[in-house]
Amino acid sequence: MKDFGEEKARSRNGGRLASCMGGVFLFLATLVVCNYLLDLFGPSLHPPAFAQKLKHIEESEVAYDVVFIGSSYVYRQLNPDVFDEEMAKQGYDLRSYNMGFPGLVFHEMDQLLDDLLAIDSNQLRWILVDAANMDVNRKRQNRLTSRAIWGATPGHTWSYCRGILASSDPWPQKLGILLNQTVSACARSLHIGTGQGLINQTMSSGEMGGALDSTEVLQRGFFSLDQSRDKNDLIQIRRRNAFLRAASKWPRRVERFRQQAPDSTELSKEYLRAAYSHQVQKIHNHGVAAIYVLSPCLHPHFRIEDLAKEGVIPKLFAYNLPEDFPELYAANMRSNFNHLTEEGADLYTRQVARDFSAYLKEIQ
Amino acid sequence: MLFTQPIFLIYFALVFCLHWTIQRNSARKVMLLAASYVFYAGWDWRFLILIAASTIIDFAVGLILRAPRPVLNRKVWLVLSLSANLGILGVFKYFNFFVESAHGLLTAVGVTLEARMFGIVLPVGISFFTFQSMSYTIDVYRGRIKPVRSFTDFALFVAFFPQLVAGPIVRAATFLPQLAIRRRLSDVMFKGPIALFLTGFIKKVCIADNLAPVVDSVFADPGAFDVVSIWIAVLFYAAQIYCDFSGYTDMAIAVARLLGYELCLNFSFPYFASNIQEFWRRWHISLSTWLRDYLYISLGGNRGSKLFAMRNLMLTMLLGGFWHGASWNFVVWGGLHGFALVVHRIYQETVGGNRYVAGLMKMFGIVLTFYWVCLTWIFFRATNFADAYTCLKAFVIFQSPGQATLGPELLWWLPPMILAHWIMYRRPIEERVEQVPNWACAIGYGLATFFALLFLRFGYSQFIYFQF
Repeated sequence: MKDFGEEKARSRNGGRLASCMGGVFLFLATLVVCNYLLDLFGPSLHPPAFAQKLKHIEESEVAYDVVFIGSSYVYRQLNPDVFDEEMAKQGYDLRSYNMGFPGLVFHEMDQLLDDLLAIDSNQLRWILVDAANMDVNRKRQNRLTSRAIWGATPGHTWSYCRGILASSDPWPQKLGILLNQTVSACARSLHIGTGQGLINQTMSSGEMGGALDSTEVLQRGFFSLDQSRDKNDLIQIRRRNAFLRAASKWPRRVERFRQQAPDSTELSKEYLRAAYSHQVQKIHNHGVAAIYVLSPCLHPHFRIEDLAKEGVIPKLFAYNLPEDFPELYAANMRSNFNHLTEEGADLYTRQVARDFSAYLKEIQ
Repeated sequence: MLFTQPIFLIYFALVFCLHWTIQRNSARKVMLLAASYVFYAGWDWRFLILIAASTIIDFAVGLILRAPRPVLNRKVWLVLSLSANLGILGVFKYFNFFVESAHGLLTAVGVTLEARMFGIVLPVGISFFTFQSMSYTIDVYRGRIKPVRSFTDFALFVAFFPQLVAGPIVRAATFLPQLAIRRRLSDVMFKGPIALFLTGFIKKVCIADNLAPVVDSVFADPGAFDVVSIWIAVLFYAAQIYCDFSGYTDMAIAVARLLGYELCLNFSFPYFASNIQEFWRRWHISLSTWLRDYLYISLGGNRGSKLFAMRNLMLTMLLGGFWHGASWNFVVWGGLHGFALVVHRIYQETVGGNRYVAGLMKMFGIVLTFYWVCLTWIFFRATNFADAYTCLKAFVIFQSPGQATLGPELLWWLPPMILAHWIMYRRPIEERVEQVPNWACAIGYGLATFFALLFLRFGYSQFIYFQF
């Protein structure tokens, strides 16, 4: 009697297990379908500032010929007004726009390029790409920001992860970064938190994920590190003060870098080659020419320079050597260790414009 | 480890599998106890010392109380147990408050002394487990239950992780008998608990956590906001605290049910109460019944004159308010509820029997009660009396010096919340899902999870009641 009861209970448990598995399948299928539909018909996942700049390009009456894209090296240092003015002096009537965002890492840039090139109305002919920031999103606190989520498409996450694996970081750090990317990718696939802005507009957005509140900045896309402009930017003030305290040591630092550059922190050359050739091809496929720029800062970029020599990177403007551009490395032109002041940015932009016009003359 | 964090789901999946894989009841209980201690140590392992101390003292006192010939008078042992528990609570929760209040009082009368505060960290859930543990000793003393012989059973009763940090405050009489019987997986109804867990999750992460920034912004500086914004903040806070706390309880009950145990009901749609007495029968039921059984009745309850009973009521609510936190704001909150309960009792004894008055109360009771409860929440939420006064002025006489506004369109969030609350009030979700076919249930869970994740607010925030 007891055996019969146990057998019955076992068979009942078996039935429940089968029903449970079916339930789990339906549950997951519902989640996938809902998220897929939201992907198709839902609002864009762009961080507000990114969306604003893309929209500006899409709706602007000005047909931009040149766009600068990259991290703060672009956002803080390439002034479109100065560039256009200098190009006009050189005999070229061009309109440029700054699509830079602080901390923009390579894969974010790659996706931003996708969105930029997908704009039907644009008449872009050249894109000046910041070649310096081949970084990966490393910080744990960033993994659920709108920027991280926006950039975490399956394709880009896979690309990120390959980049991380190709890096020379220690394994515990690599695993931490891989976990961050996975969390961001899950958040994007499941649209985690994308509806929270409905009640309040304070979605955690990370640096520059929030909206641009200045029309002037939006018109040019450029925002210099002149202290008089933004007294509330405490991070920049802190960086500036740190630089001012150590300003006397700056020339020595430049000299040391000139004599012996530190080891490169770049990713493996094979990975860089694959990533850049993919990016260059993508830009070319849209009938646009890609020009890469190494901005004036004390970071070695041997591999990028090698890739330029190999022809993977079609054209490289390198300003990362103090001996070639001493005026850009003068302490009075620096806002902090990595960025130029507005005056420095002006000087730098004119230099880029002159090199660009020389390049145009060369190809003509 | 919070119920809303992915890590909890992994932890619970592990505990669930182990629990139902282990066949022997005693081994299961040991595993559950270890899991509960791991859960609690997730905050700070040092807190385990407190919970262990409280457990050992009350277990030992329980056995001594029912010994044929105890060494000392039983009352002495009871006082010893209560002193130990209240001592732990007093030191860890109220010490700095007492020092600060005494210092303030002495300064007011002209005595200047240096107040020395200690950097005491408030152990999470301390008020819950000490009250639970105390109720056992009192019940044994009163002869309502027999002392438990198994230390594991008693330790698990005190530390059972689903209800450890924010209740419900479970009674030994209802929980210990459940531990004596081996739970069977085949007896567990899955649909109801999963629906209940999802409901709690949505309440917490989608509603409470999304309302919190709005509430926080106003209560950070209420003087800067206009009347409408303060009204929005107060109403949102009422929704936030309900969704936060009842959401936690829903999840706790669901988790316990998935392990085969039943916890007591803690909320029963309190904002639909038509009077303040009914509100307290629906809000934090396990605390209000605890206060009634162990404090109000111990103070004399309804015995004696009406005035005496009202005094007991007032004292109970003042202490109930004080239980929530070491701040005069909570005492005032409790006092306001006590006052309302006294007024309600007077009303019942005077005009309550009148047909017309009863009819009127039926019509306006819910709104009046809700308004009063919201008014008391101001003291609960405000960080100081000045802010509370500013909010109170806006809430009662529609006056505020501030100009900043949140935008009245936020009020549109209230009707859907009320509607959802009313639908669930008509029939609880866990009852509804039991009638639904399994496939429809799975799709429903998928949809609920989709919406829950969509509105999930980044950055896990603690449950409000964890601080108590």
